[in-house]
Amino acid sequence: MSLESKIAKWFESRLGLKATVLRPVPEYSFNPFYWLGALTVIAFLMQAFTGLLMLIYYVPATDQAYSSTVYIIKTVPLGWLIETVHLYGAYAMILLASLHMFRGYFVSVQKKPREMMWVTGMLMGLVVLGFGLTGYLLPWTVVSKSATDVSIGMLSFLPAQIGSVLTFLLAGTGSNVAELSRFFDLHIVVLPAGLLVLLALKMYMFEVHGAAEPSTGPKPSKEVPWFPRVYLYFAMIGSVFVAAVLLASALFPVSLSAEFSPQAASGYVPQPEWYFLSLYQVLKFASFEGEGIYYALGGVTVILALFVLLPFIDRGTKRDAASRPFYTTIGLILIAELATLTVWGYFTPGQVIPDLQALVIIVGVALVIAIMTALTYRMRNKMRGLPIGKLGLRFMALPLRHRTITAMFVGLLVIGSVSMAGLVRSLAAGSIGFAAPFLNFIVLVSSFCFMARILRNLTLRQRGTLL
Amino acid sequence: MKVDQEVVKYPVGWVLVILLITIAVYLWLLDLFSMQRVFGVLLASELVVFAMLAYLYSKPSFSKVSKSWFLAGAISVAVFLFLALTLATQ
Repeated sequence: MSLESKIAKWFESRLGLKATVLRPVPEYSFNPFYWLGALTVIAFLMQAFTGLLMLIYYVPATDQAYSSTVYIIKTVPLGWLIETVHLYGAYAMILLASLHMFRGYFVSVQKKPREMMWVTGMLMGLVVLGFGLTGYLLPWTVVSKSATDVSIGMLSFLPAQIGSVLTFLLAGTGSNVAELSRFFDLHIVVLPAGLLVLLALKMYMFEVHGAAEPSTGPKPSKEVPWFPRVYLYFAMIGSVFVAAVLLASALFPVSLSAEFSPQAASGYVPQPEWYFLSLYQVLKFASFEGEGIYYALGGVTVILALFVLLPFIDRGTKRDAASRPFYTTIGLILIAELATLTVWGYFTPGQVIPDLQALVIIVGVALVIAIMTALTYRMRNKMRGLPIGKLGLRFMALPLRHRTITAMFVGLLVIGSVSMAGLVRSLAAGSIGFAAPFLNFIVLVSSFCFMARILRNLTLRQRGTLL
Repeated sequence: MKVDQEVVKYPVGWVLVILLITIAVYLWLLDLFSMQRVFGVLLASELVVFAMLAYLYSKPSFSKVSKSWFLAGAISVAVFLFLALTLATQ
């Protein structure tokens, strides 16, 4: 027996890895969507590695935080690359965690017996957002400090008993020194420890229940050994992921804004990072100004709580998206609203959004998604139960075959978009005139109806080719 | 003589890991501290090469390798190297 085999045997006899984490895995899990959680863990490890390297030079003091960050970027060998990878790694981690959650939502991984895995995963998602919030302050730039102050300021609107405790935990006595010190401690000790505990818990449950089976199609039972197939697959997707982060870091280097000072902050409109823009945009609605923030934060908390407790609300046994039109529609509306609010927030920094404008956009987006989803489900029923994913792929090929109709559809889309923009602009300007908004509304509805008609006719006419 | 695929793949896995570490150290030792963007792109291209090798060895035979994926990987590496060259000459 070779020395390598002897060492491997010794470890195996003590740790029993082959029976647990290195056990055979089902064939169906060789799909990148099954590895979104693992990629999030890789992102976390990357963050830990780059974070530890930066920790050698970073000084968590208000008078040195900025200068030490500049020192890392400008003087430390490869410091600039490490700093950028840390930033983009954080973005990737939040994005992957969100994709992992939404993918799980649509294929119902939260159903029995994986309810607690879902709850644990949601808590991990909150911790990941906590990383984003606390890490953002550390360079002590005018951008990061102003945005963090907005977040902390929100806590003061909560009921006094809760708000004061949370403010004290996050920002201490309120001084800049205490705030930076607490955020630093949270970022490098409390949150990593919390995430590791939750990760261990989730991995344990994963080992007990395994990966969720595909929600549609036959239930395959074939398993493949962990080594070499899983090892190579994991190495492959992990390498591609790290390569993508490195490439983005090399092409779009991080640049620090000015150091924080009360003078610099006075002329700056605070704007949070992209992952908090949707929440921030909601808080900019006119009704949620001042005391109204109670309702906004209350509403967001309720939506979050419903999402965390989803396994105990959605008790049906069917898992595929085609059999859960209600939850699928809700999920799609949520994604569309988050995307809309994020883009909208990016283009309207510091602006208070009039209620009517907010109502039109929020309800409009929800209605468009609901109608399109309902049409898709209706179409699917006419198509003798073809899976939605397969139907979508075949449907996407139609524009190539019917160029004239596609051009008409795109034209109507442009007209509808322009009229919607005009409608929103006139509502935002508080226009009291009736003609322009009414005309825009009529054009918008007409173009939308024509688009729906084209879609319906095209699909029904092409039934044969789609099937 | 029939070659046992598993026996072949086992040392190959370790060889690939050693290759990854070796090239990373090699890149590190180059005087790239002043050209961090070049270093980042080169390391990214090296990781894509590693991913391609892992993909090749994850298949039981070369006939099972998807030519499209392999071509996409090769084009990516070429683009990455071109970017590195462009950044280095800026």
